[in-house]
Parts: sequence; C-alpha cells; structure tokens
Amino acid sequence: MSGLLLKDYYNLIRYCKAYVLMFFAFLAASIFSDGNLFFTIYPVVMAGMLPTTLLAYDEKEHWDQYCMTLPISRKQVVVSKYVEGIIITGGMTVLSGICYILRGVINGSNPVEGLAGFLSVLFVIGIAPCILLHPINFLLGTTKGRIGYLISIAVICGSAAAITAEEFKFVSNMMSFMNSEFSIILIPVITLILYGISCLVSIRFYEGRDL
Amino acid sequence: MNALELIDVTKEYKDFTLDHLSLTLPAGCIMGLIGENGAGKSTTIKLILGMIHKNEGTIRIYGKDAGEASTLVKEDIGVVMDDNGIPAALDGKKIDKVMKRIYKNWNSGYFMELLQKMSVPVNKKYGDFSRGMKMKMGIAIALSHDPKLLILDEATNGLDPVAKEEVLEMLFDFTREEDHSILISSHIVSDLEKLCDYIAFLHKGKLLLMEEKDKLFEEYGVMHISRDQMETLDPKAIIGKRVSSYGAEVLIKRNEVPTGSEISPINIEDLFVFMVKGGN
Repeated sequence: MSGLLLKDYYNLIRYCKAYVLMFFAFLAASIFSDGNLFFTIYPVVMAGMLPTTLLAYDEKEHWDQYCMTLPISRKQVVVSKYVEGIIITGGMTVLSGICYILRGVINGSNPVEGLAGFLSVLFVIGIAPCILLHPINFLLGTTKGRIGYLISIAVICGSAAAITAEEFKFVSNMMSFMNSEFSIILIPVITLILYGISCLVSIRFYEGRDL
Repeated sequence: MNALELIDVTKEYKDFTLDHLSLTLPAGCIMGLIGENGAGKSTTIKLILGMIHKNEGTIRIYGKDAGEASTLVKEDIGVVMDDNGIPAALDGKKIDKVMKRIYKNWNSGYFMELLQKMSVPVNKKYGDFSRGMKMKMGIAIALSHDPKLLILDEATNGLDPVAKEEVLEMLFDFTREEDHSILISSHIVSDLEKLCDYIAFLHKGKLLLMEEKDKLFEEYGVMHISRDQMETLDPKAIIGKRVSSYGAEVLIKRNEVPTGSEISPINIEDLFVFMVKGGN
C-alpha cells in the first residue's frame, strides 16, 4: 500500500498545489481573523475532500484499471484513500491548532483554552463528509460521487450561513458541548468508528464493481 | 503446466456477451488473440486480470484461481494495456520508486537499463510522452519484476514501424526464457503472425478457432479458381469464399480437396477475414 500512498503524494504535489497555497492563505488569515471560524473550518473541509480529488484523477488517467494489473488488491486501493483522508485531515487539524494557539498569543488570551474541543470539532468536520462520499465514489465512480459532494457542500454552506446568522451561537454551543472531556474524546471516536464502517462498506462496493 | 486456462467463461453485458469462452495457453508459448473491434478481446483480458467479474466459468493462472490468489498471481504477470493508466505526473524515477513499493521482485537496475535501451527519457513526465514512448514505458514496467506471463492488450496499435519493431524485438527477447508466456491481443493481425505459436480468433464474443499457428497453415489454404470449379468442390471443404466476376478465392480445408489441387498458402489475416465473413 505504501506504493499507492507515494503515487498519491506525487499526484497531490502535481495537481493540488493551488489547494495547498489556499490552505496556507486561509490558515494565515485565521490567525488574524478575530474569531471568524470560516477561515479555520473551510481549509479542513476542503482538505477532507482531497482523497476524492485524487480518486477522480485515478479514474481520469485510468490508474484505477491499471492498478488492477499490479499486485494490488481492491481492498488496498480503498484503504489507501481512507488512510490519506486521516493523514490529510489530521495534518490540517494540527496546523489549524497551531494557528489557534498563535491567535491566542497575539490576542493575549489563554492560547490553549478550548483547544482540545476545537481540534475535535475540526477533525470531525474534516472527515465526516467522506463517511458518506467515499462509498458513493467507490460504488458509482467519482463523476456521480461529485453530486454527493455538491450536496454536502450545499449543506455545509447552508450550515455556515445559519451559524453566521445566529452569531456563532451554534458553534459556541457546540464548542461548549465539545469542551466537556467526555465529548472531546467520544465524538471523534464515534466519527472514526463510522469512518471505519464507511471503509468496510466501500471495500464491499469496490470489490463488486466492474472497472 | 498451463500459463493460462479459461474454462467456459461468460460475461454478460446489456448489448454484448462473451459466450462460454475456453482458452488454454501452455507455459512457454505465445498466443495471439485476434478479433475485430468489439469482439471481446479486452473483455477477456479484463476478466483474466479481475478488472471485471465473470458471470460463469473458471480462470486459472499457473494453476491458481485468478480470483482467489490475484495479488500473488500478479507478481508473475506483466501487463501492457492499450491505454496504460500510469499517472501523467510521474517520470521514470518516480515510477521506479512507486513500483519498488508495489512489486516484491522489482528490479530498479533492469528498469533503468530498459529505459536507456529503448531511449525513453527518465526525467520526462509520462503525460508528456508520445504514444510510442508510453508503450515502451509500459513494457519496461511489465518486464522489470521478472514476470513469467506477459499480457498485452492492443499494445502495438498506433506505433510507428520503428517503435513497433523495437517492441516486437523485446517480446522476442522475453520469450527466450523457456517458461515465459505471452498473451497478446490485437486487431492488427500482421503484428501477431510473426510472433505467435497459437492463434485464437474471437468474433462477436465467441471463439471461432484456437489452434497452433503452424497447424493452421498446414490445415488451410486458398484456391484461386473459377466459379464453375468452385461448384465442383465438396461444400465441406469450403470455409469461406470471395466471389467476383473474375472468379473465386476460396478458403479450403486442405485435406478435403482432391490431391494435386493448386493451393496457395494463407496468411492469418485472410484466414480470419474468411472465417468471419464465411460464405459472404
């Protein structure tokens, strides 16, 4: 599977440079954003979508068919995308956490106050869309999977609008809920379990699909 | 041992069926899978490689079920597809690094040697290659993990004559090892005629014929005769015919026509066309 991860790393460098630049611009903006969570949440959500983007490139270049001629199982193909999701979202969550601390330092507030809850929320927001999207992608291909992607984005944007209208009450409530020690651990764990179940479903779908 | 066995393999689509296909490729031999576009060649190869699922039948590679032991079995197979799916962003060095992590027996030195031998630039991205270069890269990858079986799907299509000759030479080199086998599909029959020991004709999803190439030449021939002479032939002897106002060109079974008849040797392409067109 390390060969698949390395191949996707090369593809990421080649095709997703713009995303990487955008992530850093958004993260930098989040440091000086004075509490606007959009700059923090958006790059993590987009980062969570990168494995889908890489999968779309695999299909476009017919790698999905070619790798079936190599000693690679369909299970390994699916698992590699889920692992990438964890690595990319995890990495973005850590970077966002660093920005959160820097913002605290600049604002003169306690930089680690609420950090754990913040990271939990971000990580969950990052990988949650893939729980639904990946099985669709592996069952029908990314072209149809994109419809699911657009629906997810609409839901996220709608939620963001609602959050803005409510002056972050939703986020504040969620953050205070997430700041309870119980939730900080429980929600990411439940999300990871669902992520794992999604992976098993995707393997099942992909193993039954004609390429 | 057989390198490849397909027994009663069926794959059904809405508008096409690969119908109870049975093929056997003995180890150490080269089989050409010939058929017009849409005959089922690529479907057959996709079934062998597990890209698509069969409805019925059994596929064995070196005696092992192709489905159950697919990743293990694929260590011994090198594949070149018509449209190789190598990522466009990778150059030779990156391909080497990726494949090293995929194949247990990957030989980086040999891979680089092959690229050099075929004048394939190592630092150029695959996406910037010409079709000939892409095919050569595909062949270099297919050969660099010590495979026993090569499967080539339309690998020579669209190549210029020089590149085609180079590719065929590499395939000849590969078959110098006694246990090395090749399954090669093409609708360009002349490419296969030089190379193959066995010929299989596919037409509309059905196997028309599978035979040793030399036996085909012994068994079949062409008679250039008048229409009247054609009428005197035993209908059993006639496999196909082309009739014009000048006379008839008739594909016959040599042992079914009277001894002493003037029979010209047939090439594989004509044999295929006659068989497909039959009496038309």
